[in-house]
Amino acid sequence: MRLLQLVALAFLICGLVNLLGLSAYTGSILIFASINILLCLGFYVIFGLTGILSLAHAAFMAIGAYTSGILSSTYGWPIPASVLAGTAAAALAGALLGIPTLRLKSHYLVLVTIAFGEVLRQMLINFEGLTGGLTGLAVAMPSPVEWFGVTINPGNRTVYLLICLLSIAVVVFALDRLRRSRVGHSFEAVRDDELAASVVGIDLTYTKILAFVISAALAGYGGALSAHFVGFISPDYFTFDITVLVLAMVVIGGKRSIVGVIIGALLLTFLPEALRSLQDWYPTFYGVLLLLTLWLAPYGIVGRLEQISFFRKLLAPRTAVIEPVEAARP
Amino acid sequence: MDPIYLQLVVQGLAIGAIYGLVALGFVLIINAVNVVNFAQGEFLMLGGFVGLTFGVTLGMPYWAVLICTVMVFAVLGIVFDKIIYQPLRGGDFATHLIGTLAAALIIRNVAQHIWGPEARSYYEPFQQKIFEVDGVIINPQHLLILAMTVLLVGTLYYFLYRTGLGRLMRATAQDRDTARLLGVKVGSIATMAFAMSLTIGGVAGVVVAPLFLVDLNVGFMAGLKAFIATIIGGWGSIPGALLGGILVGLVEIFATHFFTASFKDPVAFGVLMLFLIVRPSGMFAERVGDKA
Repeated sequence: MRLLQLVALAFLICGLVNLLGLSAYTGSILIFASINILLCLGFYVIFGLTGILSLAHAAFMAIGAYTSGILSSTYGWPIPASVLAGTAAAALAGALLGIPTLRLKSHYLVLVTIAFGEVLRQMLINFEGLTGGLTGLAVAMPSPVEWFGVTINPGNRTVYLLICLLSIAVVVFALDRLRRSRVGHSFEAVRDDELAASVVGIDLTYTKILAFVISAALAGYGGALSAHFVGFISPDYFTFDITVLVLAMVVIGGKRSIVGVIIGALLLTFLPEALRSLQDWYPTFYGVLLLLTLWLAPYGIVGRLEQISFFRKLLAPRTAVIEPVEAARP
Repeated sequence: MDPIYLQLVVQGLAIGAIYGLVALGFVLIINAVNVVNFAQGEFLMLGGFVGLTFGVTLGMPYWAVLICTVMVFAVLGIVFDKIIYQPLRGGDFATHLIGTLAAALIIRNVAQHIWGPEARSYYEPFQQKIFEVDGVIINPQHLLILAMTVLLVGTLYYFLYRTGLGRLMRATAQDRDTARLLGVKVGSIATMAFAMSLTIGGVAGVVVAPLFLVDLNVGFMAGLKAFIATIIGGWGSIPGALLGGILVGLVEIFATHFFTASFKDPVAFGVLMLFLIVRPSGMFAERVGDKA
């Protein structure tokens, strides 16, 4: 996909939303859906592409959200700068978590990443002076800016949505390029067979840490975007449940495909809104949906769609589909 | 020695024994089917609520509560095996992890609908009869937990290492395909392992309930601590799980005493990191090699 097409698509969606005059509620849902897509794309890089099951996504979100929130509210940074700083802080945390977990596999890695998230959450609660502790922190909302005589107000929902959509366009474009690049292939090689990957000369340390950094940066960016949209953050927003939700979106949509994780994020954002009456049963709903996916479609909705030739052409027009090695199963 | 330390040790042992019991649930499943069951902590929570129903709502005596809990959880274990584990059999590590995480979501949600979202207090079989020995204050519930743990661990150890069925279970764990070739019904072994594992989790939930409030959210943290215990004890080792649990419990209690309660979890995770760096195979490494 070309960047221009994606950007045009973002403007088109925004224009449609504006034209239809959707309610504030619908606008918010669309923004949350976009943020979820960004989070899922981050999870896709580490889990779908590199095959590392790291469950610290909520922690990276929290780092992005708190860094941006504290810098903008307490220290008065302009919001674009603080969001970038939040993203960078999350990326740094990703690298720091990536280094000690390099030699750990499967259950050890999962445990360390979960533990990292929990310790971080308790630090957020304990360092009240900086983070507001359990009561949370009010975050500055974006204020209007004037560029070349044109006033842009990101506080406006449509403008905020456009910012989110443009971010998605850039990220999808970059990830699509990355996936088909040398680095992307080394990610997939590490996922499919670590030993073989190292034998053909792939630097495992560099590859894995890079995957952690990209994934954490996207999570931090998503966290910061949601913080400035909601205007309030507290440690309760960044629990393990959020990580599980992102995991569910990625697995249900299709963990091996960019289109898949976008579909998963949209599905699990809009479906609960459509099924308001089931509100108390959401966790069961997600759980059952996850189990059904694991039973019926190990590569998610997109994995199933790709078996239909019409969709296969639509989903992967320019790349050869390399089937994952099934024979490696014990 | 200051009696306060002895008292802390007793408390730490009791909390640690609970982590050890939950960790035993992990170890059984690991040994039988080499899968990590991330819903294991939820059974501790569920055990508390089931005990509450039998003991408080239905007014059963304590021994009857325990027997009924064992029966309920044995059945649940068979159901869990049939709908969570068996359909995904042969999948990789991540598949089972996601499957059991999904199960944990469902269990917590269903429990919330049955028992409500509030934490509940449980009756105490000993009615707060705390006694004092040489200035050390001892809660009999702590002793009951320790006794129950010793009993369960002893039974389990005897079963796995001294009976034919236990040997079949260990054989299945070591090499599933060879065990099947030799005529072991690996499917039934897995079912049995899940039934036993859930039973241990449920019983642990009943005995720990009087110490804490019965709370929906107790499962996640307890499961995490027990998982730490499993790893620092040595992957798949029964004595390791127990000692690992006790180590985590002691570390937590002393961290709470010397710092504040909010530091107990970071300190426990710190111990884990230390073990992963210094001795990743744990205290009792049974087998060398990448089993996962």
